[in-house]
Formats: sequence, C-alpha cells, structure tokens
Amino acid sequence: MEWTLFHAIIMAIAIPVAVVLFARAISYKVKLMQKAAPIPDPIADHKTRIRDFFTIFLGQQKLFQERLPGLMHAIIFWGFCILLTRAITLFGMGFAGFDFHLPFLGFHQPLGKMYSLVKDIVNVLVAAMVIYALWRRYIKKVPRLLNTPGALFVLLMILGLMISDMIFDGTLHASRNTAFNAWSPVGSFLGSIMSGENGVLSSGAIFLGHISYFFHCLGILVFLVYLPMGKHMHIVTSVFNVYLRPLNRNGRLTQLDLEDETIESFGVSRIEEYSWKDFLDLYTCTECGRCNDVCPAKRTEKELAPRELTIHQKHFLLDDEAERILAGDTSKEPSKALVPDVVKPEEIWACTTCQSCEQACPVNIGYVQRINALRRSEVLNHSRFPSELKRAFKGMETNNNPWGIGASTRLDWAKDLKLPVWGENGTPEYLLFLGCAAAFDDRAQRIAKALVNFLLKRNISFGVIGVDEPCCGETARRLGEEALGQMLMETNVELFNELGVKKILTPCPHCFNTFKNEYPDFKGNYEVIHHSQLIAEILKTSSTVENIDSPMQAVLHDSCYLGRINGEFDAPRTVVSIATGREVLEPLESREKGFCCGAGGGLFWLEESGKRINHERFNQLVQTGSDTIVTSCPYCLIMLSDAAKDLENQTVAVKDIVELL
Amino acid sequence: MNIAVILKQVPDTEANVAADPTHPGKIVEDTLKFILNPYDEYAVEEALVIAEKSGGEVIGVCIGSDRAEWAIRTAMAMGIHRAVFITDPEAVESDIITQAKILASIIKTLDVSLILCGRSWIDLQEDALAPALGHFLNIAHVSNAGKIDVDCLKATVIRELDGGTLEVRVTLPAVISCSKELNEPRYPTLIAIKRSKNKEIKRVTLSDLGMTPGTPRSFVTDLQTPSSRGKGKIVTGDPADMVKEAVQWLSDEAKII
Repeated sequence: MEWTLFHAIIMAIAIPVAVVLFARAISYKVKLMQKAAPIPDPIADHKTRIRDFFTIFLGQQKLFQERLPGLMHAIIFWGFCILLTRAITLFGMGFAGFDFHLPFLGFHQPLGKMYSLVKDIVNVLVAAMVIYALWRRYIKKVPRLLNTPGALFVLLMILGLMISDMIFDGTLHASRNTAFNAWSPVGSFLGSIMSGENGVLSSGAIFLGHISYFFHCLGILVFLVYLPMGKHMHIVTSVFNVYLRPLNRNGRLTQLDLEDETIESFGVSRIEEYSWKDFLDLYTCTECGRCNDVCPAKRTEKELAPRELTIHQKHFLLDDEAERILAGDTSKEPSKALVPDVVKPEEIWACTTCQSCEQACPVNIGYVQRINALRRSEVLNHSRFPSELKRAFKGMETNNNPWGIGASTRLDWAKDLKLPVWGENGTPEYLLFLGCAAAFDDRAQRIAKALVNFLLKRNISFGVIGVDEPCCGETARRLGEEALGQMLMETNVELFNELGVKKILTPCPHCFNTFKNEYPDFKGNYEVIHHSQLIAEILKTSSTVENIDSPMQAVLHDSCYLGRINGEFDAPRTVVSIATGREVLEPLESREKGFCCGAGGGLFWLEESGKRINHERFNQLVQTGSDTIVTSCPYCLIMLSDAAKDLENQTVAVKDIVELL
Repeated sequence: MNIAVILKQVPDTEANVAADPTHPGKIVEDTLKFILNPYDEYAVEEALVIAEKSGGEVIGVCIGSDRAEWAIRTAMAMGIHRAVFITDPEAVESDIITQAKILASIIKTLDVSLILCGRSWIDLQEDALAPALGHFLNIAHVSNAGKIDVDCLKATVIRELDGGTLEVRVTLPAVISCSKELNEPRYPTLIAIKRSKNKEIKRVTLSDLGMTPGTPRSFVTDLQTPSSRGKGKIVTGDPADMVKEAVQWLSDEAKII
C-alpha cells in the first residue's frame, strides 16, 4: 500500500476547508458572547482554577459520581487526548508519505514502540466504550439520555474512527510484511489476517486500507465541523467552562445595583442580559441529564427540568435571537419573551435552589443564578409571581417575617425562659439569631427552646436581639424580591454593627448561608456558626457524656444550605452519633448528594402541586429502617414533620439535632 | 376620567395595639407598625384599573399625621399620580364625620368624576366615610362594592351584602366604597417604587381650605383592650367519666349550668 500525491491533494483541500468552517462557527459564538453582559467577578484565583483543570477536566472527577458511565466517558476522553498525537501523525502521512512519524515516535524508536502499544490498547478500549454507550442508549435505555440523531451520529463516528485506524494500521503492517509484533498487537495481528497465508495483500485489502485512511482523516475533519453545530460543542468549550466557573458563588447571589437611577430593568428579561459565562454554559450543555436525575422538581414531575430549561434557552439564543443580538439593535424587540414563552413561570417557581444540579453537572454549568435572574425580572419588573407570595413579601416588609405574624410576638415562645437579651449584661460572645421559622412556627419553636436551654446549661455567653430581630432577607432574595432582600440585609448590617456583633450563632442554615456568604457584599463581616458546629465542638471536648437518648436509630437528613452549599456534613453527624451513642444511618442520597426537603428557594411559601418533594425525601429516609429522622434546619424539620403527618406515619419521629440532647 | 382615592394610615393588622395609660382614648404608637388601610388598597387598585382604561389621573387624598406620608407613598408605588395631604392636628384628631367634611372640601377643589375609598377603616372600625362624603358633596354613594363597571358618566356597582349581592346604577360623580371582592391589589414593581419617590404630595392646611372644623361631635374617651383568655380545661379518661367531670366543672366552678 503506497502513498500517492492524491492523498496529499485531498488533505490539502480538506484540512483548510474544515478549519475555516470550524473557525467561523466558533467565532460566531464568541462574537455572541461579546454581546452578553459582563460576569460579576474578576477571573482570579488561578490556583483553584488550575486545580479544577486537573481534577474536574482532566481527571473527569464529577463524571465519576456515576461510576461505570463515568469510567466510560473518561476512557473515551483520555483516549481522545492520547489519540491526538496519532491524528497528527496520520495527517502528516497525508503530505509526507506513510513512513512519516513525529520526532521520537518512529516505530523502531523506543518511545514510538510504547506509543504504538498504548495507541492500540486505547483504540480497542474506546471502541469497547462506544459499544457500551450504544448499549446504554439503545438496549438498556437509560431514562435520562436523549437519543437524538446527533448522539447516535457522534457515537458511530467515534466507533468508525477507531475501527478505521485499526484497519489502516493493519494494512500498513501487512504491506511492510511485518510479522506479529507485541508493540503493535492490533495492527500487526490484523495485518497478518489480511495478508493471508502468502503474506501478500490483495488489491481489495489495499483498497480497504486507503478507504480506512480517508475515512479516518476526513472523519476527524467532519467531526470538527460538526462540533459547533450540536451538543458536542462541549468537546471544545468544557475546558473553558470548567476553568472559568464562578468561584466563591456557592450560596451567594449576585448583588443587583438598585441605587443607579438610570437602570430601569432588573434581573434578566432578555437573553442577552445573561453574562457571557451563562452563554458559555448554554453552549457547553451536552444534554446528559445528570441535572434532571437529581433535581427535586423534576423528580416530582414539576414543570422544571434543568436540562430542558438549558436546551430551550440555548435554542432560543442560537436559533431565534442571535441575529438580533449580533446586529446590536436594542430597539428591536425579541421574537419571544424569555418568560413566559421560552421558560414557563411554573419552571422558574419550581426551583428549590438546592444546587444539586450544579453538583451533578460534570462541566460546572450554573442553574440557580440563571433561574434567580428570571425571578428577579418577574418580581421587580413585572410584579408577576404566584399570588401566595404577596403575603410572605408583605409579612417580611411590615413584620420582619414571611409568616406575617406581628413582629411584637417574636419572642412569645420564650416567655418561660430566661432569655439573655443582647446588651443587658455587657457584650456577649455570640449573637443568637434564631431566624423566623424558629420564632414563629410552633414546631420549629421547639428547636429554639432546646437550643437556648443547651446554651444556658453550658454557660455559653450569648444574647438575642429581641422582638426587633429582623428577617435575614434570604427568602426574599431567593424569591427574586431583591429590593426587599437588600433592604432587610442593610437594616441588619446596620443593627449588628451598632451592637458590635462579632459572632453569629444560628440554628437556621438559610440565615447561616446568607450571613456567611452574602452579608460581606453588604459590608457585614461576621464569624457565622451553625448550631451543629458549636454543639459538635462542645460535645467533642466535653468530659461528661451527654445523656444518651433511648436506643434510637437515627438517620440524618442533610440540609442543602448547610451541606452541599457550605460543605458542613460532619458537625451534625458528630452531634447525632454522640447523642445517640450509635452510628448515624445514611439515606440513599446523602452528603453532597442529599435530596432537598422541598422548602428551599422560598418554595416553603408556595403551594406545591402533584407529587410532594418532602414525601419523596421522607420515604427515602424511612427506607433506612430508622425510627428517628434528624435534621439541622427548621424548614427541613417542618417539611419532614408535615410529610410524616400527611403519610400517616406515627412510628418515625422527626427531630432537630439539638432536640436529641 | 380623574378619580380621587381616600387614603388612611392604620396600625398593621398584626400589630399589638395597647392603650396608652397616660392619654385616655389613645394607643401607644412608638413600637407600632403602620400600613395603608387594607381596604384602601382595593380602592387604589380599582381606581388605577379604571384610569388605565379611561385615561385620567388618580389623586390620593389623605388626612393624617406626618407618618401617614408612608401610606401615601405606598399608594404612589402602586401607581396613583399625585396626592393631597392634610396634617393639621385638628383634622387628624377629629371624628370621621368631620374628617369627611374636610375631605369633601378638598375633593371640591379637584376635577374628579369618581371618589373611591375603602369600605371600612380597620383601626376604629369606621364604615361611615362613603355616606358622609356623599352627603357633604351632595352626590350619590354606594357602599361595599364587589364589582364596578364604569361607562361614560354612569357606573354599575355590585354591592356585597350578607348572603347576596345587589346591583346599583349611579350617575357620576359618585362615592363608592370598596370591599375585598373587588380585585387583587397589585404588588408594586421596583421601577414604580422608584418613580413614586418623585411624585407630588401637595400639603394643604385647614386655613388654605378656609375651614374651621370646630369641636368634633364625638370623641373617644377611653380605650380598653380585651383581657387575655384564661387557660382551657382539658378532661381526660373514659368518655363517660369525662362527660361527668366536664358537667360538674361547668356547674360547680364555671357556674354556667
């Protein structure tokens, strides 16, 4: 099998055509990104980003959250990286003849031998993984996968590339009469088969060799041109998406500028008001559906499915709006309204902001902020939101709590307690910020009582603000009422700073998260401690063992805002294991994968239709065989207690960690 | 068509109202939260809907101390165009009939075809405003509207009665008081809130109006809050014993039977 000028001519035409088409498609998308809004934070902390590059991108870390499919993808990806060298060699052969090789990689050189062996193994492994992927899609029919023609095309294409490389390598070996060679097991083996007993290649085999060569090289170029058109764009963009992910944005919404009188639209009402990083997110989505699998809304058959939200926004951007945006004509109206035409109101009001989708996404696509931006626009620009929220908003505005119960009754639950009020006896160490739930909900008030009793018994120096304790503002912000949220936050910062607060202790992960992650944006810098953390510390160093409760089998429900979003998994577990003297049971989905109770993102204040998220979670927790569900958040406590009532389960108790002591 | 809406600031429905021990008939205001009278919100919303359809201005008219400006701003954030505000203590302290007289004299200076107000002031549970305004303006009034249809200079009003409705047709100008069946008051957008800050609140005084309201015909002399309810009694055990115990308690201790 000989190289001819024909090879060179074909390659000389095909490569520039493919590269130009590819470059044009990419530059179109980059230009579109340039028309988008800026990102809120500078791209700093390259150390973390480089670590992400190695772990999340090269290491495929997040894909391994599902072991076998993760391994499948990783092998194809690593194989792709390794075979890049092979592809360059093959293109080189097109111009310089079939003996061409990259420096040090000649077949008779030591490195070349090793590379040849690795390449053969990789070809076989990748082909096997593609067959596994095809099996998952078309025989096992994994529900989350969308079997689009594009997905099938790409898989068959990869399979074709592997096979064609093997055949070409085989014919090349045969035409050089090389016997079986351990450094090229696949190539030399195939070669020996094709050349038959007499060791001469038939003209048919030679033709097959050439076909394979062209299929492989042109296939790569077709693939290159196809990439920017479909979901496989992630092959190009994922490295950027991983590297450029917003850092320090867990549980921290962007701060809207409400002071600037020239701004007349808030949040995102037109797609180009998203940042360029949001655009990159849309480009990068591979439609794998891992987000859908973990989304509490999707899992309970609500309108929201994070993947579909992303796909709809992507198609709207690229198919309907790109021309208008690129033309830069701001006077021209969008072809459709982002809400309610592209994204339905039911979708944006179904997000619990639990961030499990972001945890699951292998390429760090953001969802919560993208949905919140739509809520902001709906509330602030159009005053469109589910009617039951008005009561919660008015309650926060007038009575400092979403329940709307008179602010003057905030401490009524503590009538029988000696509650130290801040400033009555000097400046205490901790400001005990109980939060609205623990102050106004009958069930959650028991957390407040148990916590205050614990602190008093342990002589912890603390004080409460009293009836003037405001709402932390978290709920308002999560619901898109940024103006109300900011007003509450600014009031708090002023009050806390006036009182000289340094440390805030709270039993509510929502208050905890917003004080810790969002208040610094409003000049409120405090050390924020969740009650599980303080109690765990005290119990660990305590010489007296706490009165061990009845032999309960406790299962721990992770609060999203304490666990997944703020990384505190151990403190509640420490408290439970010391308090019960037993190992803590873990539900099917726990720690980073903990399933939401359904209350987050302000959804506590919305009517839920259809299947209930709290019922789903309750059943999952009960399946462990536990008799006590332990929570570390008043909202989780209320939601799971309600689930127990709704499902008429009287055998399982629901308690906050502090109620175990 | 221009519309006047009467605005009143009242303590929040959830507020813990306490009698002021030093000023008989007054309440302790320091810690109270005040809001726009909830029924007035329905009046504002209805006025805005009618004005949006027919064109014209919605003008708020308010009697109250300085803090009542907040209630006017709330209505402005919802969308009313401007307001007239009277803060003379004499006006603020007077009874609802006298206030109606003052409001009527302000309304006479405005070119309005419709006057809307809440069906009730929830603070002192006063419902007399609409009829009193009708009297002083010498025009028709309709109370407790659950639906209002304005057509040229006529209005068809569905009144909400206990256990039924009543359809009333009036010639404008007229005073109509609004009930909660009328609409769902809007939640202001941020832009509306921002714009409301620059809207005009015209302060007038009684002397501007050439009025001396004189001694109110009625005034509050004392205010009592209900004493808190005692704890209930729970009886337990066998149903037959429970009944016996309950009856005994009701006759011997509670002396009800």
